[in-house]
Amino acid sequence: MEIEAQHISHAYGELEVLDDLSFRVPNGRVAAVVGPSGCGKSTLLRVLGGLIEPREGRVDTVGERGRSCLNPLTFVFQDFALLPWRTVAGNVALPLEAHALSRLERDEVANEALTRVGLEGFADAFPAQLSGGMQQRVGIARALAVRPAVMLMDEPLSALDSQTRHLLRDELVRLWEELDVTTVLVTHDLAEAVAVADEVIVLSRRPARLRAVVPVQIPRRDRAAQAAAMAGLEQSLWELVRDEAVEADREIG
Amino acid sequence: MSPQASSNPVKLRGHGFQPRVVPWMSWAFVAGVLAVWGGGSRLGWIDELMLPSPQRVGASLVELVASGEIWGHLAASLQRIAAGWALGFAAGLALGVLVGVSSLSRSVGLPLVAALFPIPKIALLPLFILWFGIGEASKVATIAFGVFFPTVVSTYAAVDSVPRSLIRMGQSFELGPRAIVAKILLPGALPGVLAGARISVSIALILVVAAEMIGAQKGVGALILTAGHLLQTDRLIAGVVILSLLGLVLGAALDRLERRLLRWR
Repeated sequence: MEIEAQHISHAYGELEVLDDLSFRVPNGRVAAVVGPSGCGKSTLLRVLGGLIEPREGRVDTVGERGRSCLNPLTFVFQDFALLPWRTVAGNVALPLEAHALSRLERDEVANEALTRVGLEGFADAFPAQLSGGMQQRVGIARALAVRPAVMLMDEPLSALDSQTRHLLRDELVRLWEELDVTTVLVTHDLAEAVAVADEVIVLSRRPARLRAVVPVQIPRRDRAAQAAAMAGLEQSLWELVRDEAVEADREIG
Repeated sequence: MSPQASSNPVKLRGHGFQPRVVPWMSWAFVAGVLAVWGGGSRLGWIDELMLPSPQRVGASLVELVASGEIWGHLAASLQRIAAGWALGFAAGLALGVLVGVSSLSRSVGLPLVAALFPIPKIALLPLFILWFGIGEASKVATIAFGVFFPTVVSTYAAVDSVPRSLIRMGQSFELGPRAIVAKILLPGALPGVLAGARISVSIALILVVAAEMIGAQKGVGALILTAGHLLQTDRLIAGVVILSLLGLVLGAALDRLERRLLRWR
């Protein structure tokens, strides 16, 4: 399934946040959204996922969703957004409770999702007992459990330390190879963007306009080996963002 | 200082400010208080009528228990607390959740709570006696009323404290409003609600004693008041000790409940 944004504009009161954004993420592709901090990346993601109604514009999903798909659009959150009073299995089962599934089917689907992200054996643990990396794996398993066609990830690795971030990034790359899930991933980390994305959507500072869509041609699994090319790509992204980042940094209010 | 290199140990500066409970110190303090109190009584420094010796208070307690007299009083007080607290807590919980989720309830409920919360509830007992009679109902109503308002406030504050990101999460996974209340807001508010229950139980204890002092034959409050009228200070203090124990037991029960329900913390 594709996701298409058409002329999205949004404002919080007087504060204009998004300005006429249009783009399309093709089926099964991973698009990273980058831009200066505070430019409205997360707002854009919430608009895409139907959590915020934009002032103008529309969002469409285009194409067939898989037969087993329960919820076409799911989120992975920066702060994990796990329910601390539910076990790992309970958290992953939560979105399944919104759908007509028997208890048995629910357990089966939840277990499968847990296994996919390497959480076997953690089903009965509470989130507070887990490291940040494990908590975000629960967040990813929960998003995958409903077999989404499109996954929206809001800075999914930002709350993690840098070693864990690298581990989880590699795991995401593996997941995208296995699964056919269109992904929009918001990040402030340009290296992360070029490491995982098929294309990088570059936004200006607030109100965010589309500055460029930069394709990343190198196949994902070869990227680790081509460090020089990746560094060059990251550098060219930085040049696109830098001036705006400087200005955003000096902004008051 | 000479410019030459010299080696000095780094002075430790990070000690102290880590208070903890040392059990023997606590017990020693209790023993000390009893010793001073008992010694003062024996030496005649403390008037037996104003403050009977710990031995006499203890003997009074034993007698109250042995004669079985205490159970009637305790049962009467506990029944009033149970009925009044349950009523006030249930109603307060319901309104607190509503204020926590609906603009209409918040607009209506908050001014109401603000206006009625500060009234010392015992001031309403005479009115409740007129409405409900001198019997149990007026006492139960006073307790319920006193428990209701703090429960509303602690419940809606607890609902407000549930991170909005969890609600957005629930919505993104297509949980309906009822499922969000039942699966996210209520369990998320539980720690705050239990903290509120702790406060409202102590309010119920205060109000039951006050109400029993105004008009009751049975009850720990009545026991204390009668003993005062008869200058039986040993019985009076025994009654106060019973109240202290009752408060401790109720607190411990809430502790256990909290540990069971909030295992995930």
